[in-house]
Amino acid sequence: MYSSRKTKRRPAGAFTLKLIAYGIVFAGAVVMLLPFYFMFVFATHANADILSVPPPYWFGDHLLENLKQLMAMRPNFWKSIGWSLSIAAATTALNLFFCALAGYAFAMLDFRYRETLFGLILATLLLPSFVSMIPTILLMQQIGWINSSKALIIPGACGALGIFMMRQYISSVLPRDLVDAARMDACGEFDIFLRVVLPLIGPALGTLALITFIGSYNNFVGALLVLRDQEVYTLPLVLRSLQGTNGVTWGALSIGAAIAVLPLLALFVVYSRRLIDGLTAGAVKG
Amino acid sequence: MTPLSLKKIGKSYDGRNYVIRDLNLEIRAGEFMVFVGPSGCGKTTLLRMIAGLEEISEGEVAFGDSVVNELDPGERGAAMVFQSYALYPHMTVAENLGFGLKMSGVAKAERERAVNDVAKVLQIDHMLSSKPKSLSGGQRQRVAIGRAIVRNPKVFLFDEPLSNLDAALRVQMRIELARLHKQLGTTMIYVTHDQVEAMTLGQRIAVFNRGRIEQVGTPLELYERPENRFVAQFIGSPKMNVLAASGNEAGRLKIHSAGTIPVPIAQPASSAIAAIGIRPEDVVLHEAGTPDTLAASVTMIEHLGDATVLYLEIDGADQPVTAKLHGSNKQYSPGDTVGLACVDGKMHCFNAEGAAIR
Repeated sequence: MYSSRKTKRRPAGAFTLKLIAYGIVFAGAVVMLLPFYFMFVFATHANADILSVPPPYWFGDHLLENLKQLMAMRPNFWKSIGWSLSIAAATTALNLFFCALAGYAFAMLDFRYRETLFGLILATLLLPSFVSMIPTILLMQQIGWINSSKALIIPGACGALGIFMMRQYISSVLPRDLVDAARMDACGEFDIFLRVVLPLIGPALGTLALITFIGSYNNFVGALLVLRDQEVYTLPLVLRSLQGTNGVTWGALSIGAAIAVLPLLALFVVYSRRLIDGLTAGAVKG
Repeated sequence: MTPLSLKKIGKSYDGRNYVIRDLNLEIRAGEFMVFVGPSGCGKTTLLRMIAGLEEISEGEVAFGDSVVNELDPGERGAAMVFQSYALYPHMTVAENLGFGLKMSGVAKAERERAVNDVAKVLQIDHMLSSKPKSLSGGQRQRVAIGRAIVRNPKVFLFDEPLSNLDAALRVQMRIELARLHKQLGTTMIYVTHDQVEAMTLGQRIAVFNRGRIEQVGTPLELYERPENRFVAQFIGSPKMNVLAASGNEAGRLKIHSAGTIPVPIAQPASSAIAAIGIRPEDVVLHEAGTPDTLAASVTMIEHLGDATVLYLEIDGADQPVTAKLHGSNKQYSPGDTVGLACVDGKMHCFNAEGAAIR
């Protein structure tokens, strides 16, 4: 039967473009995921297998031996995981509190030189982190924080990126009338922050928490600068210390790295949606 | 019931340009005072200064005998209802209502009793456990009003609270607000740019323009005896027709080139007349060529049901003259020529500065 309705057909060019786009994304994903895959694969093989040509492409049965070897080489491995997690948790909690507080002030309070101050804070994002390395070491030595967790927690307790994120989010989601209503309800500024602002900025807090936690947990250079004794090494330093001058036990290193990455993977799987939402919040008018 | 006194109030954000300057106003105890004026005239800024949400650059705000300039908003004893409702989205209706009391340190049992009482008065007691997002606009507005009432304030401040409601709900809420004022007897200050709200709610109205009060009076005073052209044209809908007048020879005024009319007020004040004002509802139309009328032609007609609005062109005037006719038997068509006059005693006269002459 003849139908006057025509079927819409996509032009062949559009399909090819889409195919190319997907191909590029797929290639990018493979490049990023392959090291992860091989980390897990090598964690289940002996050193000799790993160093053979070609290397193993599939999982082996040497997992427990590698784990035992790791424990023999670094008996404080589990302690360093706990140490890293506690430092990351403390840094994250402080970072959320201070960045949200500063973001609220920059978004909602009127004070002199507000824009100038905010500009200065943003300008610190332009400085490479290496610039502050030597002053950091000297300062930590002066105040006696070498080998102390404070040397990692306190400098990470507030950052320009967090303040920027919070300020943008609060400006976009929090009506000024709401803050004024709380002032009329006899709320002081800190009460407004605690009782009105904080409960309403959950998505941004979640995103910042994720970014801060991952950054702190993976912080290698910072820890390298201020932690000298193996007793207080965080996980990145413990893993690095497995790479000695007398050769590397790749199986033990891989299982250590695989265990180290598990908490972050779990966090990412649970909160990836929130991370994306939080990063794009305020980008478009809702 | 608390009176309010505003003395020499000034507001400047940069120390040079003033959005409000040298403003004086006495608001009586228990009065329903309306601030009305065009956008950007300073009415909301003044309300926020009274609330304590905006710093007072100059002058003195007193609640009763106490100057409150230095007090925080929560310490002044004022409650405010915002245009956007400003309900805390993460709290239930009950928590929203009781939040102010909680912050003031009122005990839980007393707080719950007060919240329940107010919820019953405003008929929102069935939604106390709901969150604001599940309420309609009208219900949210009731909660916002309830939040103000529950604190038992000395003064209520309303910042265009009905602007976000549809026309029917606005009328209903207007009646409820008037009833609430009668019931509570508390001093209320209400900001709006809607003159119907101002005229129907206000016991007195302050008309604002460019950071100044042009006139304060009862709705009828403002309508019948405006002190200047701004008030005359701001109050009333459609707005008053103002026509330039010249001459005043032999007791007659020349209105553009549309004709002459007898001087409507006694000499010698009449010599200063620079313009006349006729409210659309006071326009009378006669046959073209009738003595003491202005020659005009109908350009457009709007039928409102209860009235007909005619737009008339008169020679030499750059704005059309509006006539609002109630129950007229005569049917007009665009292009008709008529003689335009004013109901006896209803014509307003203004001098060159825009001040009313009587």
